[in-house]
Amino acid sequence: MATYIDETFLRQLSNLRFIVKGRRKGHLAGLHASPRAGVSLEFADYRAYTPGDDFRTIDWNVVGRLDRLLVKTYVHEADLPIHLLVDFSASMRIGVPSKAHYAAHLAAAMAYLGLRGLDRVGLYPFTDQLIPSLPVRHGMGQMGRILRLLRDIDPGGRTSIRAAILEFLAQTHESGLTVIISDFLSPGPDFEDGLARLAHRGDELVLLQVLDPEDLTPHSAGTTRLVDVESSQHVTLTIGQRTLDEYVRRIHAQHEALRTFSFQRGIPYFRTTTDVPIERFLHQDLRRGGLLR
Amino acid sequence: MTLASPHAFYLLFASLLVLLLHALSARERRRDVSALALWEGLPGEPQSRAARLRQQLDPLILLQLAVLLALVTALAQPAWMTRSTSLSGLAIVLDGSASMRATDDDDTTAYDRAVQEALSLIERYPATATAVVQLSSRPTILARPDHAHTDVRDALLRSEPTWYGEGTTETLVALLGSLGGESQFERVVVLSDHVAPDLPATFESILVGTADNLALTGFTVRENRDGIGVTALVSVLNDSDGYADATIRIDDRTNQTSLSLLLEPGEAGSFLIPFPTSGGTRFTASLDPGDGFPADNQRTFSLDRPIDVRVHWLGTENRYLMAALRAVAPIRLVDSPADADLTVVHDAAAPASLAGTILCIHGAIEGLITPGDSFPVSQVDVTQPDHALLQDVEPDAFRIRRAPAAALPASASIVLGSRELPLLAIVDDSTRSVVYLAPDILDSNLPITVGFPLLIRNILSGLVRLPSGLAYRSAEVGDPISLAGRGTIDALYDPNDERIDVPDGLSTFRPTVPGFHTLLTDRGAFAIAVNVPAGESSAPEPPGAVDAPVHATRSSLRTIPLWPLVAGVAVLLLLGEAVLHASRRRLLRRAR
Repeated sequence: MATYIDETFLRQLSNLRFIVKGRRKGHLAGLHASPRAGVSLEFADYRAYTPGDDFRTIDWNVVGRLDRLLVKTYVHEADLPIHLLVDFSASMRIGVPSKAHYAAHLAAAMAYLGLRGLDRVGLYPFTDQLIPSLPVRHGMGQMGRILRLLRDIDPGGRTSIRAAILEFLAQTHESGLTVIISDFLSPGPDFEDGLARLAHRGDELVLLQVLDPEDLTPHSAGTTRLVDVESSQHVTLTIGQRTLDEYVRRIHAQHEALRTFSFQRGIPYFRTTTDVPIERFLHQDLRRGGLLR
Repeated sequence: MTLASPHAFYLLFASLLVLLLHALSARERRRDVSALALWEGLPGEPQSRAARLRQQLDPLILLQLAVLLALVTALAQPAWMTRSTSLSGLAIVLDGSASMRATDDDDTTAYDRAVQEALSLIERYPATATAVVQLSSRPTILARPDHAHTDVRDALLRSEPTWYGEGTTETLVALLGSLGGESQFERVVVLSDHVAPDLPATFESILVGTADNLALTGFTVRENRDGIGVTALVSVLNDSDGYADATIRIDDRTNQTSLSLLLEPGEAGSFLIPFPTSGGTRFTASLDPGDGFPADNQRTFSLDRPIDVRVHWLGTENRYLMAALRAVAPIRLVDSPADADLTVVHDAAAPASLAGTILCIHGAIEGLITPGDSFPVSQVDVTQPDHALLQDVEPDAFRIRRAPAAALPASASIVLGSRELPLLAIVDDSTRSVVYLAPDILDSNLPITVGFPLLIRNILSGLVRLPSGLAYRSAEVGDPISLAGRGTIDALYDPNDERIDVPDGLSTFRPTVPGFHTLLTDRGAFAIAVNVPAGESSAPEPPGAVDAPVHATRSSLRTIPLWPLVAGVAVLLLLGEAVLHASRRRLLRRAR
């Protein structure tokens, strides 16, 4: 698999970072606000002094005016666990470049943004189950491991997002930002249930749908044997404009269903195609959508 | 358009291989999809016949076949043959020989057609310097390269075919050489009714007439030995593809005889025709039926009966000398030296006033030849062995007992002598031409030697211009004909009774038309039979022999090779096929 990160690409990502809506309970110091008070430059509140508090936190000006011992508390900035679930089923093989290639590139970019923001990042490739994955870690050493894993994965097999999520939940106990990258064309049964379970655990979900342009507007004509790359089932069809119109109607309906589901659950949902440069997707779509800043 | 290698088209069989490969590789169109569920249940469309045909006629296979066709065509080396409207030089050679007078069914002569062809050539190359040559045994230049085209056209329209024979290729090349050389002319076009086999390969030949011809190719008459009538020898040619029922008539202006013949196709034969009732000297042979070239359906012949040599005899008679003279030519004795062609002075003295041509044997001429005392002659010395008087004569056989020591002018030319004695000498002055034979004939062995009549013949030939019979018998248009030996020329007329100027001192002329010419001299009227050259009646080259000149014509055309263009088209088609193929592969990969 090709190199996903190069110097030019890094420069284009240098001014981006994740936006997290809620306050996360990170274990380590980071750049994201934590619900716990901590040591930082950002003032949070006053509270009554209790024995054992650091004298240095007593606000002596307040003592002078009110004659009460109050200590200042500051916002605790914690790190953010970022889980990248990337679909590497057979359907992601389609297209030039393939959807898997595009998804891997996108995952690498997001991993870099997370690690650069002092977050911990884990990579969880999946088909109808998780395939050997990288648990969340921080530091740029994790970046190399992520890149090697992305390089070595060969797409194949069926897709089952729900099964993959269940396995993911069983392996990880820390909620965080969970980004699912897939084409969502054959997500498998009850994938919404899987997403709901993730949300229930407290994960902040983001859905990134990667499609090939031919998925949206196929150009086939004439009698064609259509083969499902995941199931190897096939259908022979004489494709004309009427057929294509019906196909487009169907895929738009599926897209609308996914969008509606995401909207109802408050899950950010973004769609891109492999002919859109990743830089543009990151800078325009994700930034405009509030995932990055 | 021509193809240099048409056999290359056999490579088109390779298209079968292409079609076979296409058939083997033609599988059902397959498309990999991410989710078959999106396609399942979609209404398929009935495929129209045109759509099915389009699907079967894969543009790729069509392009591949087009590439193959273009490549094979390029390998066949197509070339476009064209003629430019401008040449560095154009030489038009019109065959002007007598055979070009032959007419076709439209009464158009071959020469007229040649002229039309020439005019067409001139119109085709208006910007080209053009020379026009009329080729025959007497070739002429009708127009030089520096002439304006209007002058060239006028010269062509004014020109007429001659009655001369064919010109040779050497003559043509020499004539072109006088116009700057054949290399000056990019095209040399020969318009003729036949193809010269030795024509240079760079010359183009255009045939303008190959009509059938029935011809008399030879005619001669001889007097019968018994003196009764004559016998004619006639040569006939049937240059056609059919049998010819012909009649040959011989006419001597008084009587007539004929011979009927059935001539096979292409037959050439000679026939003896007895004509015992003839007493004339002018004979005409004619052939029936006529054809498009009537000039060779009639030939003439004039019996050449030599005229008498008028001799004035001075001195004693000598029958040996007279016999020798009569052996050379008919002799008629005249009384006056003024009427004589020759004066014989034998054993006598002639006055100084005697003029003209004189044969002086053992005699004297006052003031010119003065004989002295006789001396014995031990041997004969030849002082001028190559002299015309000694042609065929062996002087060593002469035995002379005595000869006078004659006093001769210093200008005398001694041919035979014996020490100081002149034996045979030529003495000329302003009024006389004298051959002097010193010894007495009867005092020598001359009468019994073979060389004596030969010596007399040579002397007579030197003094008197004897007629040349051969020139009359085989005279053809353009041949030089000697008029000597017929006396003093008064006039010469052609067959149309038009007078022909014969300059003084000129004893030959070249006839330009066939037929009986009439020579009027002081000795009478003489007929000179002139015929069309026999070669003009000979069969033209068969069509197969035209191959070489036709090939030459093709080679002189400007050839524009088209194979680079076709090869370029093939490369473009190949690129198109590659682009289409790559595009399909890309789409296929995307689909998968």
